[in-house]
Amino acid sequence: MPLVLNDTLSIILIATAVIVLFAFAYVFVILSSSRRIVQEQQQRIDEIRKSEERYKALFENSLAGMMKFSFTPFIVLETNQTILEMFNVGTDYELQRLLSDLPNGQTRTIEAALHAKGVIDALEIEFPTVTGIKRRFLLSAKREEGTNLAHCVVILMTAERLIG
Amino acid sequence: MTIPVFAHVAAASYFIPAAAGLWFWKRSASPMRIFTLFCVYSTLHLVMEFTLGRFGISNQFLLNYHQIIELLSILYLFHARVPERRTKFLFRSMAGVYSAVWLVNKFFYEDPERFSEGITIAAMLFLMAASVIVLNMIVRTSTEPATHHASFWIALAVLLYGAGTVIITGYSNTILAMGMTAFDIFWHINWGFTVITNIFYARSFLCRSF
Repeated sequence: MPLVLNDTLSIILIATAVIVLFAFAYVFVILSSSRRIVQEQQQRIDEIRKSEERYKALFENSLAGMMKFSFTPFIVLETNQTILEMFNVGTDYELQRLLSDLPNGQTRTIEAALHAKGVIDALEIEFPTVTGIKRRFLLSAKREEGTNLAHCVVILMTAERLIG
Repeated sequence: MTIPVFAHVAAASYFIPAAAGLWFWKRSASPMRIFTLFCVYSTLHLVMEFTLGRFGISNQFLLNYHQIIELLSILYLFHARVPERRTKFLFRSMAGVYSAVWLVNKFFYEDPERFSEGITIAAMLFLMAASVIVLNMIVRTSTEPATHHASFWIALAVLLYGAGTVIITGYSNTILAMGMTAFDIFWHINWGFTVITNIFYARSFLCRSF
């Protein structure tokens, strides 16, 4: 028996079609937004990675000695090659041992200054090398806000004199 | 009365998410396991409907139980998915309000020989609203494409099924009163959306993230 579409059936059909259309449109919008948001996040991650690489290159190739360290307790966390060569050591751990036991209480001076002010501006430090010759350095450091970590730049004073 | 071929296809589609859920049971998060149990229940429910139908016994009352189980299972899953406390509270409230309305309807208004249109529409509207909230939340908070989340496929299925069948379900008794030809034709739409829903439910079990 063929079906005759009366008003009620027509309204049911049309209303269903309209709601389904709205649902599909909504799903389309949701999927497009999802794709856009994921792309934006991916771009941001790429930018952070590039910036990290730039910073790493700057850190590694710097002519000044650089390191990141915790000043309480004294632990060297990251170093560049220049600082290791300046202090004539091969590893971060050797540098840590050397800096945590500087003569004349210099290590405690660094720690106290970072605790009190958060900044050290060109502090002169000296330490005897294995050959017995004293080497002098200028050390500047800045504490990371709210942590016991600090970033430090070291310049060999003899080199500074040569430049000057 | 012969049962149309497409009705058999729709009925068979219920087995797909149940089987997928059981297959991936071990790696599924606990809300997905609850969802698997719901899929298994839906399959058993269907088998019971067919069996009762074969023996000429009215199976309308079964549908009236299915709505609340479906609503509570899916709201539980969505509740576990959303991080915001306000949205969780909203989903809990929806479940509470619906359960109260369902109980009142059950004891004072329900005719076991008739399918409760009003209470079914209420369940569908609640679930559609919850799906829209969950879909928005996934897009807002996810760091990977929305399609990588199981809850996306479930919310999508619920939304499309609701959109496609809410009016037909609401008028099902009216359509039935117009004769079996009208009912057959309109119910093909319902079966079509059932198949889509079950495929999306099954797809959700393939996602690694919930």
